[in-house]
Amino acid sequence: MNFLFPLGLAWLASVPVLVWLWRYATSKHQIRVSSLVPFAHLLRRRPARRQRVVVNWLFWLQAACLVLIALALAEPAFRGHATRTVLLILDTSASLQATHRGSPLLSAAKARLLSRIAHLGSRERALLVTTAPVRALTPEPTGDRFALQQLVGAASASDLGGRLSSAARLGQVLLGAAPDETVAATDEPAPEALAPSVRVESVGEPLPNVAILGVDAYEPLCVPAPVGGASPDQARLIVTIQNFSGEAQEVSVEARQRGRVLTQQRLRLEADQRLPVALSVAVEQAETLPVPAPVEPRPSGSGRNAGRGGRPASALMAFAPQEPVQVQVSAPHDALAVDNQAWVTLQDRARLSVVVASDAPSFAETIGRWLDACPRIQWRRLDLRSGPAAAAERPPRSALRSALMAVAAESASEVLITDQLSQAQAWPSSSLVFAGHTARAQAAMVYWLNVAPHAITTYLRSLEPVATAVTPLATLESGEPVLWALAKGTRVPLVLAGQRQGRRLVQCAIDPTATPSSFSLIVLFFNSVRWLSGSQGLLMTGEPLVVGPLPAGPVRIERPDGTRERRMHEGGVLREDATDRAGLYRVAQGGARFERAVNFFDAVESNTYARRSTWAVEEATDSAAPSSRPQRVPSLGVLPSPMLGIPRRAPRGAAEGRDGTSSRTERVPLAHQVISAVLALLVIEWLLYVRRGRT
Amino acid sequence: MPTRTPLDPSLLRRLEALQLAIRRMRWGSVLGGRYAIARRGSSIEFADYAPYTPGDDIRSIDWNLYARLDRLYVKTYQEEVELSVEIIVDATASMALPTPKKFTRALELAWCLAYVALIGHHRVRMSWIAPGVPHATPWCTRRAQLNQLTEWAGRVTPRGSVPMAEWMRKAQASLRIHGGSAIVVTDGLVAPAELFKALHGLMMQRVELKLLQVLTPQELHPARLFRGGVLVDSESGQTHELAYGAEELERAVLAHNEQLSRFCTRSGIAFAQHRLDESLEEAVLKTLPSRGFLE
Repeated sequence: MNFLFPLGLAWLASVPVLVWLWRYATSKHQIRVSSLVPFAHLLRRRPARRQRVVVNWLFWLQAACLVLIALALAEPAFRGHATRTVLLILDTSASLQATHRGSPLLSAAKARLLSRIAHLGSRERALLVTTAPVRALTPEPTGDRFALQQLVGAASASDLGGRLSSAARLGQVLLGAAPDETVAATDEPAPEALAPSVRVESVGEPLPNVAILGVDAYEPLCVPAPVGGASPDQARLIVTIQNFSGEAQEVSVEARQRGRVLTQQRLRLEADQRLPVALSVAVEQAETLPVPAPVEPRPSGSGRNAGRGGRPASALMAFAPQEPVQVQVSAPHDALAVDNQAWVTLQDRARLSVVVASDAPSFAETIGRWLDACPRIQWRRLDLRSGPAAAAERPPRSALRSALMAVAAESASEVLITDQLSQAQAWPSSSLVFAGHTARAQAAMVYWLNVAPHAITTYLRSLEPVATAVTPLATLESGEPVLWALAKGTRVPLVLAGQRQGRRLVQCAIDPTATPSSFSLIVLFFNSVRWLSGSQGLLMTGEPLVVGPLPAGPVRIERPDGTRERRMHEGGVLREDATDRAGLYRVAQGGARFERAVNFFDAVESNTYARRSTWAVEEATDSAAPSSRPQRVPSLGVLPSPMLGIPRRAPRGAAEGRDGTSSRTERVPLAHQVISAVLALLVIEWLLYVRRGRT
Repeated sequence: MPTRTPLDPSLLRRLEALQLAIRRMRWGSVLGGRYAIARRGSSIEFADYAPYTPGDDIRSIDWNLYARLDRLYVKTYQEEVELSVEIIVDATASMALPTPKKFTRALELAWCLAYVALIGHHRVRMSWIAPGVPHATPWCTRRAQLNQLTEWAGRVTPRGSVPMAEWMRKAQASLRIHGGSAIVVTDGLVAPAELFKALHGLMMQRVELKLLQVLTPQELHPARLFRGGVLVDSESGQTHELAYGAEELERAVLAHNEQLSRFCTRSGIAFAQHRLDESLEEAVLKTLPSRGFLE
């Protein structure tokens, strides 16, 4: 045993003080006795000065307390068998809000964890981690059952997606080593292959659910822009909904603004059917809406509308463009409520800005020719060779990337069309990436296989031959394959569509410069552009909400769950990261008020009928669809720690046994136990003192 | 028939099998009792013949004997007396220390002895050694009067300090203690000379004495009770710093009690010591009979 703070032993100097106090108290203590007669002959003697202190059990208890306090201050520690670490994972993702027989699944998950906590051994320390958001509720492993029970009881399900693997990874990082036991309470099914130390407590059952998976606001692209920048005749909301159940359901979809129903549509969704539903919002209806209250002021001189001839504010008022439209879906059998509504703002879409970036002039010419066909699209070519990068004849790719990022900082909402995936990854907004031109790329007749209903494949037949120059993509981003190509007996993904951190990305394995223009190609191109533009302004839970810039001063933020927060804003753009609830966030500063909608679109969480386990380690992605390149990875339970990037660290001098946990040693601090002993001694002393006083 | 007293009824029933141990009847008892004494009396129990002396009742002359012997003899009969039992309980302040149970136990022992005496058809009364004029209860002769004795005794509270010899002298005069038997219940924590003087005064009044000492275990072993501090005498208020070893304290108490015991033995006084951790039943049914108090 050694001491972490040996100076604490100086407290032992208090023991002589205690002895002196006892001697003093003894000299002043009067004892009333029956008679001194028996000691008469002793009284005649002169009493000798007593050299030793007269003590009783109270003295020894007090002395023991002082010694133990000195010991606790010195922070003793010894090397002993390691305490058993238990990683408790509570799934707080949105799917846990689903109700089964009137009770939310989260309650059942909590009950499972509470049961484990109740059986927590004295040598067990537990770390509690939630999945959505991924965070540890206990700063360090603790054996305090009461605190753990309180934390589990206070946890609530958020409107976020969650992954058990992420929570497990965080837990391992915080523990510094693989836990001896992992217990995950979730609604996901337990994976088949699990290590003996991992237990997945599944509380889920197949629950039918109808969910909104996406909302897009479209206006017609290829019609002339209204004269004078007036509002388009109508806007379309494309609501992607899916029936996660084994039976067909009658579904009602409606759009509302300020409580008024703008449009409504009823349809029948077959079992497990995903369908984009188009809702038209006519101008006549929009004009009847009252004028919204204060409109967010735009920073002067920084808007691109000024350069592009933006519409006057009065025209926006007629359409109530800054007012979010609420889309709501209802079905008879619906387990989850959070995915039944979404908000979208019918923004100014008179002109759609597109940026074309490519090193190849032929690519820009081809794309520009297509874009010129649509009068509502205003596009520009981004010449990355101008500026510092132009100095070199063949500038390095990093220089081009830096130049792109500098431009992207000023083009926050423009759609990028490029043939370089790296440029799309650096772009802050949605991007369309075509395969780069290669000399081998030659047009050949391939069959386009359209099996997944998606906005990008609208108007395309399920199978049609198209002369296409297919160039396999060098790097595949995760996403949903929405169009396949059948060529020479193999099926390769032709178009991938995905979404990450609010940005949409379409990857197209087509070389546009080598592919003859065809109706299908043009339709595919404009469908992609329209789908990419539909995501503008959409914010999803977990993504930062940005408002402003705002002047410095107090700001009040009102969240969808009714909680309000006041904070002092230092000026500039206000960033709110706690967007774990879907709904309308209201920001007020002085007389200015802003309203932002945060949506919940997560097909994985909404699929309460056939849940998939997220225990397996996968690359994090926001895409709702499965990856086009599924990788078979071992589950976390059988995954060795180095594969997780976390070395299994053993303390110095530790001897790890075959089971990895049995013979580990660690420095075990004893301060808590010693303090507990002090408190126990004090209680015993008090009890004995009271009893002595009574007798 | 058992009476309503603080004593356990089962104990009272067992006490009915006992009687006071009386060595010899003393002059001074009331006539008409059940105890015969060696004195010519008027009972119907024939004792002996005695030569006639002038003044004898001529009705007691045995004329048949005179016819045969030509001498006058009178028939003598045994005198039967009622024994007076004086129970004197120490009620000074020392009897309430270190615990009030000490005085309570002394009273219980006194009541047991009184009950045995009442069952034996003796006259019993109780008196208390306390500051002020000595006073005592009226004489009780029936067992039912035990209730009155306990009631009177219940009003007494240990207090103050009394010179025992002086109190005895006053009591002999005011309470007319003469002859019979007296049982003194005390803790004996008085100066031995003072106690001896008091007891000797009683013996001079032809009283058959018994001394019952009631002590707590702490008093017998003072090292357990106090191990440091200033001692305060409950009666005199005298203080003294306790600066002695446990062995010295133990020896002092032992010597004091030994002194009492030796004096009683020499003086023919029945002596018994009762520890408070001994049960009342055991003390009455075993200790006191073995010490010559009961039989």
